[in-house]
Amino acid sequence: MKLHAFAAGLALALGSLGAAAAGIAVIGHPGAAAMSKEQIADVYLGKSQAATPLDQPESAPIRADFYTKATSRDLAQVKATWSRLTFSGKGQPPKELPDAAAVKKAVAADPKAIGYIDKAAVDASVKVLLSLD
Amino acid sequence: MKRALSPAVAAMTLALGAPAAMAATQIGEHVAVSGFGTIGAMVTDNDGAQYRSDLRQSRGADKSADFGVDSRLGLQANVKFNDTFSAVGQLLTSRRQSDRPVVEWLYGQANLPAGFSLQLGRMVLPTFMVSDSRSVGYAAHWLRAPQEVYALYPASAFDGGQLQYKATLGPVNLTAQLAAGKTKSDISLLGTAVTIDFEKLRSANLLLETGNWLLRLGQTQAPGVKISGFGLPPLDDKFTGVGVQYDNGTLLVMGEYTMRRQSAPAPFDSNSWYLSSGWRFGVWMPYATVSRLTPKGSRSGLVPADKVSAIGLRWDAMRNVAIKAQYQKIDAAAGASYVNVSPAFAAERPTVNALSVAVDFVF
Repeated sequence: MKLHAFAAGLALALGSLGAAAAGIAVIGHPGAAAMSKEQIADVYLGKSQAATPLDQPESAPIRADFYTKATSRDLAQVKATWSRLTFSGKGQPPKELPDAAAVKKAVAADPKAIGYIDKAAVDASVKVLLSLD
Repeated sequence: MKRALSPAVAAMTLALGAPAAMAATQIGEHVAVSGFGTIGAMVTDNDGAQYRSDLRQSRGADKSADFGVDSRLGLQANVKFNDTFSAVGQLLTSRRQSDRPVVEWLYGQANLPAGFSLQLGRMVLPTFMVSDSRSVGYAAHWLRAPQEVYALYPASAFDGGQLQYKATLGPVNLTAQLAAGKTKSDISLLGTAVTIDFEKLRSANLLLETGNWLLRLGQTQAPGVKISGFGLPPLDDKFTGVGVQYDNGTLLVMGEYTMRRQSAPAPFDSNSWYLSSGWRFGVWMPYATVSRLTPKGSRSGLVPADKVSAIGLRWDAMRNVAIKAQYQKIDAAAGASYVNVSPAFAAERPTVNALSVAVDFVF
C-alpha cells in the first residue's frame, strides 16, 4: 500500500519532470526585445500593456504549466484575476488561439504579440523572449 | 420571500442554462458579452435585526435563511469599435431599494496617446481598493467585502468623466485616475428611507503595482452632499483610503484604511479598516478577516462602532465556479450593518453569529 503510493508519487514526479524537461518558450516577433519573467507575468495578469498576450486553449496542458512557471498562479487564480479586470472594464483576457501553430503565426505577424509554445516548436519565424524550464 | 428570491433564481437559471465551458462570448469581431453572478444564502442567530451587505438594502438576514443579501447577477458587453474607441455596458440585478436590474455602468472610452485614456458616461466610483470588482464574487477570495469599510460609501457608480493614465516605470506599473461627476443613492438608515445626493463629486486615485505588491491611494471629495430625512445641512464630504495587497500566488494579505471627514455637524465621521489573509492549498483557500469601524467627531449615533471577525473557505469547485462559506462574529449596532432593528436589539447590542454560503460564477 505504502509502496504503491510511493511508486505513484514517483511516477507523477517523473512525469512532471518529463513535461518540464521539454521547456516552454515565450515567443515574440523577430524584432521584439527580450523580456523578464516579471514583465511576462505582468502582461499575462493584465498589470502591464507592454505587449499583447496570446493564450493556448484551457484544455492544453502547456497553458497551466506556463502560468505556474511564469506567474506562480494556477488557472483558477488567473481566471479570477481576469474576471476582476474584465468586469471593471479594465481589460479583456488574452485572446485564445487553437494551438501552438496558430500562436506562432499570430506572433510572427504582430510586433506587439507574445505567446508561449513548446521549445521544440520554435522556428525562425519567431524570437524566444524568455525560456521557462 | 418571492421578491427576495428573484435575483437568486434568475442567477441560478442562467448559471445552469449556460454551458459550463462558456467563457466570455465573442459576438463578431467587436463585441464580447460576459457575465458574473452569486447565489448566496445567509442566516444569523438573532431575530432582533437583519444583517445586510449594502446600505441600499432595506431588509436582510436573520434566523430564517435569506437569499437576497449576496445574490446578484451581472451582464456585461464590451464593444471595441477600433483601437481608439470602445464602450462598456453592465446590467446588474441585486437587492437594493428596488429589485429591478440597474444600469450599473455605461460608458465610452477613448484611448489617447502616451498612456492616457478618457471615459465618459456611468462608471465605477473608485472609492476603495476593490471598488471595481466588488460585485464579482468570483474575483475575490472572501464571500463579501467587509462592510465596516465597504458599506461606508453608499454609491458604487457615478455619472461623469474620468481621465486615466497608465505607465510602466521600471518594475512599477502605475495607474492614475482623475474623475468628476455626480451620483445619487437611495439607502435605508435607522428605519428611514434616505436619499443621498452627491451633486458634485471628484476623485483622485493612484495605483502602484510591482511584482506581488499593490498599493492604492485615493480620495473622493463631494461638497454640499444633501442627505434627506435627518434635518442635516448640506455636508462637505471627504473620503480618503489607503490599501495594500500582497499576493504571491499562495499567500494573500490585504488591508485597507479609510477615513471620512465631513463639515459640521459631521455626523458620519469615521475611521475604519480591515485586514484579510488567506492561504491557497490547491483548490482550497481558507481565509480570515478582521474589520472595525470607529466613529469620530460628533458621534450623533448615526455611525455606531462595528467590530467583525470572519473566517471562511473558498473552494474552486470547477471551472468558472467557486463555492464559499463564511462565519462571522458581528459586534455591531444598528447603522451600516443592520436594518429592521428592534428596540430590544438596539438597546442590548448583542454579539451576533452569522453563517453565509455562496456560489460565485463567471461566464
